[in-house]
Amino acid sequence: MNDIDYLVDLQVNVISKGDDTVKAKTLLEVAQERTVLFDGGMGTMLFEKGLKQGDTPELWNLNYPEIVGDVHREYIKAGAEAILTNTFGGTSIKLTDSGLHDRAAEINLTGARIARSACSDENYVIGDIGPIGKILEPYGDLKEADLVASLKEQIKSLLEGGVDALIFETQIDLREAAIGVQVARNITSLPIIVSFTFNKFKRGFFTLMGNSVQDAIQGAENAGADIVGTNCGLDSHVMKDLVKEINAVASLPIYAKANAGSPELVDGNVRYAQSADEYIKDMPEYLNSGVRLIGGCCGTNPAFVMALNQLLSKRN
Amino acid sequence: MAFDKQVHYELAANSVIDGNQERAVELTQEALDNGITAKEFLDNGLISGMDVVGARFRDGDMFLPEVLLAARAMKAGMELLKPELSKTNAKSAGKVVIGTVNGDLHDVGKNIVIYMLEGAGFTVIDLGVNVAMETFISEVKQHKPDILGLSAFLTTTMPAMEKVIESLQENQLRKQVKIIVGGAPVTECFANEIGADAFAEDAGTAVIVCKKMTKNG
Repeated sequence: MNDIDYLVDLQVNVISKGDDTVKAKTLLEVAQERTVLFDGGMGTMLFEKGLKQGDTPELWNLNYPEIVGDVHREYIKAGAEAILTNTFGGTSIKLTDSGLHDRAAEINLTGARIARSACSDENYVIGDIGPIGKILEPYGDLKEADLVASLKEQIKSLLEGGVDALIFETQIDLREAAIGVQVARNITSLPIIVSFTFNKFKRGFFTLMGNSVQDAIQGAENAGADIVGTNCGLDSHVMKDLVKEINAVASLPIYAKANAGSPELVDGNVRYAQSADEYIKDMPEYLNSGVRLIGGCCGTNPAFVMALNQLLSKRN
Repeated sequence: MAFDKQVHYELAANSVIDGNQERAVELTQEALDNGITAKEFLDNGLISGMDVVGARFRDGDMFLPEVLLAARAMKAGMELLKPELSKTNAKSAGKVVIGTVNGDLHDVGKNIVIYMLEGAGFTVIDLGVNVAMETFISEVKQHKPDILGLSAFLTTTMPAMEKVIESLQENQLRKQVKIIVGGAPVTECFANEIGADAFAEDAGTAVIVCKKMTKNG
C-alpha cells in the first residue's frame, strides 16, 4: 500500500465509522494472522424470538431493535468476535417485495447501529448484503444500473452506521457479486468478503447460476474482494469437501459458514438436523483447509458459536 | 427432400434446449406450414426439448440462465400454437391452480412448472408468489381445479403448505382437489407428512404426476 492509498484508507475509515476510532487492525489483517470467530444464524434466532413466516426480518431493526441487539449480544457472549448486521435483505429492490423499499436507508443504518452498540470497539461489525433476489439481464429483467443504485444505497447506509467490513453473502451469481464488490470498492476501502452458496452435483459444486468453484472464487478475487468463501446451502459435512476445493483455488483468506444440516419439519416448526456437537466435529478440517473466518449459517445458534470458541481456544 | 417430421421435432427440441427463441419460432411456423398439428408438434418438439432441460437442470448439467432461455424459447413457440391448440384442444387436460406459498417470493421453479403444464394441455391459473392461505381457499372455491399446486423455495415457508392443506380440510374443500407440492427444500417424505397427494422433484415429473392424477381422479 502506498502513502496515498493509506491516506485514503484512513480517511474512509474515519468518515465511515463516525465517532469510532480506527481499529488497530482491519478484519483482513487479523484474518491473515489467525482465525476469526463469526456469529451463527440471525434468521434462525429471530424465528425463535417470534418472527413469523412472511415477516421481513430486516423490519425488526426498526420495530424491535432491542431483540435484534439481544441476538448480537448472545453471539458476542458465546465468543463471536465478528457479527453480521440484520440487513441480509436490505436492498431497496429486495425490500420492494414487502413494500418497504423507501425505508431501505433507514433499515440499514439502524441495523448497523444496533450491531455496533451491541458489541465493543474490539469486535468487528460486518455489514450484511444478501442477493438482490432478481436475475440480471439478459436472463432475467434486472438492469445493471438498478442493481448498482440499490447496492450503493445499502452500502452507504451500512458505512454510515459504523460497520468495519462488508459481506456479500449467499451469492449465486458471480456477476452480481462482482458488481457488488466494484460498487463497494468505489465507496470504501474497508475489507470486503464475498461468500457464495453452492449446490452439489455429480460433476461437482456449482452455484444456481452455474458458476464453478474456481470461476466464482477467482472471479471474486479479480473483482477486488479481500476475503472469499461460502455459506448456506450445505451442511457442515458436505461443505467440508467444498472448502477443500476453495482452498485449492483461493489466494485470499477463506470464510465459511455451513448450515446445521438439512431442515426438517417438527410440529409445524422448521428444525435443523445437526447438533452443535456434530457440526463441531467437522470444523478442524475447515481450519486445516485454510478457513480463517468461521461461524455458522441457517440453523446454528449461540451454542454452535460457543463450541467453536472452545475448539479455537484448544487449538491456539 | 420431403419434409421429415422426426428430424423437425429434433431440431425444435434442440432449439428449446439451446434457448434459441428465434429458431424455435421459425421451426414452429414451419411445422404448422407443413401440416403438423399443434398438439403433435408441441409434444414431440418443444416439450420433449423442455423435458431434456428439466433433467439436465436437476443433474447440474444446465443452470438457471440456460433454463430461463429455454423456457422463453418454448413459450415463444407455444404462442404460435395457441390459436390451433384452443381450437382443437377443446378438452383441456385438466385445471391447475398454482402458487408460491405465503412468505415466499420465489417463482422461477413454479413458472417452469407452469410452462410445462400448459405445454401438456393443462389450463393453469397462476396465483403468483407470497399467496395468502385465504387466497388459495377462495381460488379453489371459485375455479374448482382438479389440482392445486403449492410451491416453496425457503425451508422457513414450508410449514405454510401444511396450513393451506389444513385450511382446505376445515373448509370442506380437501376432497374435491388433488394437491401436489414441490420446490427446492420439499421432499416426498415432507409431502406425505403434511397430507399432500403428490410430490414432484422437478417440472418434468410434475407434468407426469399431474397427468396421472387427473386420469385417476
